[in-house]
Amino acid sequence: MKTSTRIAAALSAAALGVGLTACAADQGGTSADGSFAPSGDASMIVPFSAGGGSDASGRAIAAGLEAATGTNVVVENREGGSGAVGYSYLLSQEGDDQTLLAAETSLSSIPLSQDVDFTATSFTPVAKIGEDATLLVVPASSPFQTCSDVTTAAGAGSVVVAVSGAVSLDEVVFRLIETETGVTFDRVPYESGGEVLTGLLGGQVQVASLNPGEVVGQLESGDLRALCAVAEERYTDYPELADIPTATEQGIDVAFTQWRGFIGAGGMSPEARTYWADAAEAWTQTPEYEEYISSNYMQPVTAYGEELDAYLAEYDAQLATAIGR
Amino acid sequence: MIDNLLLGFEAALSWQNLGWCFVGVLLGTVIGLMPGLGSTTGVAILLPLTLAMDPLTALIMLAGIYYGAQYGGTITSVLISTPGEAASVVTTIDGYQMARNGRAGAALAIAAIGSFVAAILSLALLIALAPPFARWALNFGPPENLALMVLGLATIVSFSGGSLARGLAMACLGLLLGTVGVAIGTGEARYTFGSVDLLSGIPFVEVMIGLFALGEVLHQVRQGAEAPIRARFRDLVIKGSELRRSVAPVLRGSGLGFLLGVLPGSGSTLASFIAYGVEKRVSPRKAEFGKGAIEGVAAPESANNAAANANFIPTLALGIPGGATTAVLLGAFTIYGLQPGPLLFEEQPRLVWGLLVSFFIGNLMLLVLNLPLAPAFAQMLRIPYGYLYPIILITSCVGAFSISNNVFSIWIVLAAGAAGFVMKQYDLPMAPLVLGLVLGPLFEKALVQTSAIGNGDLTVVFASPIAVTVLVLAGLLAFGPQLWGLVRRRSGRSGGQGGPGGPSAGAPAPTPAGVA
Amino acid sequence: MSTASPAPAPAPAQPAEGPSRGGTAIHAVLVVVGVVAAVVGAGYGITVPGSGGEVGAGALPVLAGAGLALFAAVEVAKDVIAVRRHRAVGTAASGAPTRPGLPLAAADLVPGTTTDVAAASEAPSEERDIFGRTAAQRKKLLLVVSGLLLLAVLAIPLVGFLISFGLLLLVLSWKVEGRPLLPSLVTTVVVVVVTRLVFVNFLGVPLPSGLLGVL
Repeated sequence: MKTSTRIAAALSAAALGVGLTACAADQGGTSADGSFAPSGDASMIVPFSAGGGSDASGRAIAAGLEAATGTNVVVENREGGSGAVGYSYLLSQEGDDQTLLAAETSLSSIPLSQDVDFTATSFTPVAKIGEDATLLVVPASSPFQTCSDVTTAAGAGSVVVAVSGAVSLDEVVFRLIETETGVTFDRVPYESGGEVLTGLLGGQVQVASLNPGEVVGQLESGDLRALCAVAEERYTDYPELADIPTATEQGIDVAFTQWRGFIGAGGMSPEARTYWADAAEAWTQTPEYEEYISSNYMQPVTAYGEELDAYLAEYDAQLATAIGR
Repeated sequence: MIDNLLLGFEAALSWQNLGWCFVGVLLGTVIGLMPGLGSTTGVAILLPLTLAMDPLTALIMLAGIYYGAQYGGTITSVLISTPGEAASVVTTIDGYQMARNGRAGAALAIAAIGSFVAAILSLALLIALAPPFARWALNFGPPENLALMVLGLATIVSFSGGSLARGLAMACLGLLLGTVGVAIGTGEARYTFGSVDLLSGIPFVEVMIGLFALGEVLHQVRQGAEAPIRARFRDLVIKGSELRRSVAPVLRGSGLGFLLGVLPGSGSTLASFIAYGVEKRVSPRKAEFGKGAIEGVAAPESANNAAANANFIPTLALGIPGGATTAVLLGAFTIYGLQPGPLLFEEQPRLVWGLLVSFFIGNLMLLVLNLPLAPAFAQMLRIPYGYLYPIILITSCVGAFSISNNVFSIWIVLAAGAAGFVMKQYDLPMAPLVLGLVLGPLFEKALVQTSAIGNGDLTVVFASPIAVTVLVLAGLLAFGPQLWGLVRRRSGRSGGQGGPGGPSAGAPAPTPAGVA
Repeated sequence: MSTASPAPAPAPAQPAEGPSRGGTAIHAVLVVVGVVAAVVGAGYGITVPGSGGEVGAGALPVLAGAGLALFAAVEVAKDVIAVRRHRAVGTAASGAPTRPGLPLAAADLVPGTTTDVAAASEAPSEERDIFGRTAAQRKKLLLVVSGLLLLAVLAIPLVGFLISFGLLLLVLSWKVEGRPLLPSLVTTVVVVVVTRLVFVNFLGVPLPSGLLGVL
């Protein structure tokens, strides 16, 4: 239903807070000594609707940048087209130093699988603030005990899995497993993690791939079980997840992490890029950042500037071999 | 359970909580009065206000906003034919006619009373049976949802006005508009003509503002302005006879709303449409529907409020959002450091029961606040139309803009307004269009998922007893009167479309349905 | 039109004309829209390619488009038949013979008042609204209001939302509706200030301020 667009307006207003006068975001200036200072409000585009992981990270980053710079960072949800709408909007803000976008895997996966006007290099990457992986989860009553049980069953017959979009993280994960093991899953498309959870609890799908933050409540209650973590390493930092083996341990050599961070419009000035990256780095030193990372069961892996450029280039290549056409 | 209730009352009944609950209800009502701003927006906008509060206080205030905003939307639906959100579209049909007949106060009062009764009934069910209901709701997978959407679409028959073919044509147009944007599953962009703005689909709220608010303004300008309504104050107070007529519709609406609200995703819009459709079928006064029947306000308003309450069942018991607003509330849980999920009832009993009790308090406040205020709000119609319609134009456009901070929204309003005007001029019914637009994407999702489950075979629907039951109900809702007529003719009595259908209340009666 | 009675019927002349030409034209347009949408929709794939016939992106568009074309065609056919019957019966016909049954008028918010634009201009009836405006005047009024609204939206990027719509309110109430200047001005100022307070200051909506950058 389209009502979710209303949340967009709402949350953008929410980030502003009450009683603040919003001016139209105008261009910040680069002063004579080459440093950048924003003038007026900056905006943080979230290309997904309110309530999901991208929204949470966009709002956390916006709050962090606000605290670090003293500038209002207005969160605007511009959802639609599995994220394509938000990125396309940023594309139209070429050269703007104050429009940021809460980005993740979709930056690379959308151009690889959809007919859009941008590629992963159309924008100015600013900061990666953390990494997130997924767990393969099943209902408590499921006969599957390990991830290799799942692939074996898929090879012998059919296993129904949930995916939340043509370019979503869970689609990527299942595609990688299919490529690695040579099996094929039957997919049922959903539109959000919450819906996938409903389908899984109701037994309409057998397996789903979800971020730990999305399922930890159901794991603790015993309604769902995690079979394996599709990650490089176990979640040793989080006691409640530490017992979950990785897919590799179970004989499926697949690991895929989702990065979270933010990017600026293409053609952003180097001064502005440094300014926002510094602000992000300052935020990652705060307790609020730690709280954000731990409550979402993420890994505090960061990257800025050229380091991030290199990371993204490699990431893009990895994705292209996984899901490219 | 009594212990839990006592715990809830103890937690909720502090001066601080009561105060914030009141503030929430009041702010919510104000937000609901703005076209385009509904409960979802209200909750999301005011979320930051609550960050510094104790989680229970914060949630109580947000729940107050939720209910307040819904009621605010009802007020504008009745007075100026501008629904605040999808769930109050149906209310405009008879509510606005009541206002034009000088019964705005009664319409607003029955909406408040119906909502209150619905809230109390659904709350009792929620408190007693939340976990089992939540488990039951999980049985609704794609095939069951598909059947449910068919039931929703079957109500088109009730919304088609004089000609069923026209109603069906408009519903198809709505379904078609609903397919604009990225397709579920395959991710294909449909009918977007290269426009980025259209990728996310035709925005529903803007269309509604255009069709109803702007369309009505243009229609009235063309038809000749309405005189300001100069009903006397005591005419605005609800009559005893109106209250008596509303008892059964309120109860039926509450029950339907509750059942549909428990199901994640379908929510209060479907509930309000189905409640109206059912009411029109079973009412002994079905000829008055569309011309200001109080039942046409009482039933959908009770249904959408009951659904709004029932929406909390999957939210609290399973950690699954029941609708858009509860999704935002669920997000709020994490902000307050609470982990939503099946364990919430056990781990946070004070919070959960306090919240449930506060729903009761919030609805009581809403009733106390709005019963005396309903006639006062109705005085708004005394504003001469020469001032009123330009003001409606401004608030419609500013409301539309604020949905996504995009002028594109205003253009959608203008386009939908022109369409709404034409539809009014040529007697094309709007409700089926809205129904198609709202249910279309949900219908398609269920269709795609069902066929994915059945590997292309849609007959898996018939393997589900729940789905079959729902489909039978849909058939009865759509063709019940014709079947009934057939049965009566068979049994030797001349049925048909003779006199005004006057069988005993509650029995389906032959309806002159345009196309036999 | 009167407001106290539930069934105002100020345009009794219209139904005798039979189905309106405008209405038939609208239905015909809908037939075309439906056909085109269904054809375009088929291009999206009725089933998912490479699957066992799973419902694809084109299924609902084809279904809805075809349905729209079909049902709108039924309306066109009904209109055509009605016109023939109307001619056959001659001028003695009264009421609309093609519409059996009571109009249930669920969504038809003002039943009985639908006046065909074409029919009204052919025979500018004597009915006037409460301000004594004739049908022709009201038709002009509609064009003025629509035009001004369009102008106001177009002017947003130049002068900003509040100035543009404030002017719209002032011009509509004072000039177009003939209200006294002072109350119109006061209404305008109050509405603009309240809108700004609620939306900009309280809700934080960045209303476009235009090139002028004020308000």
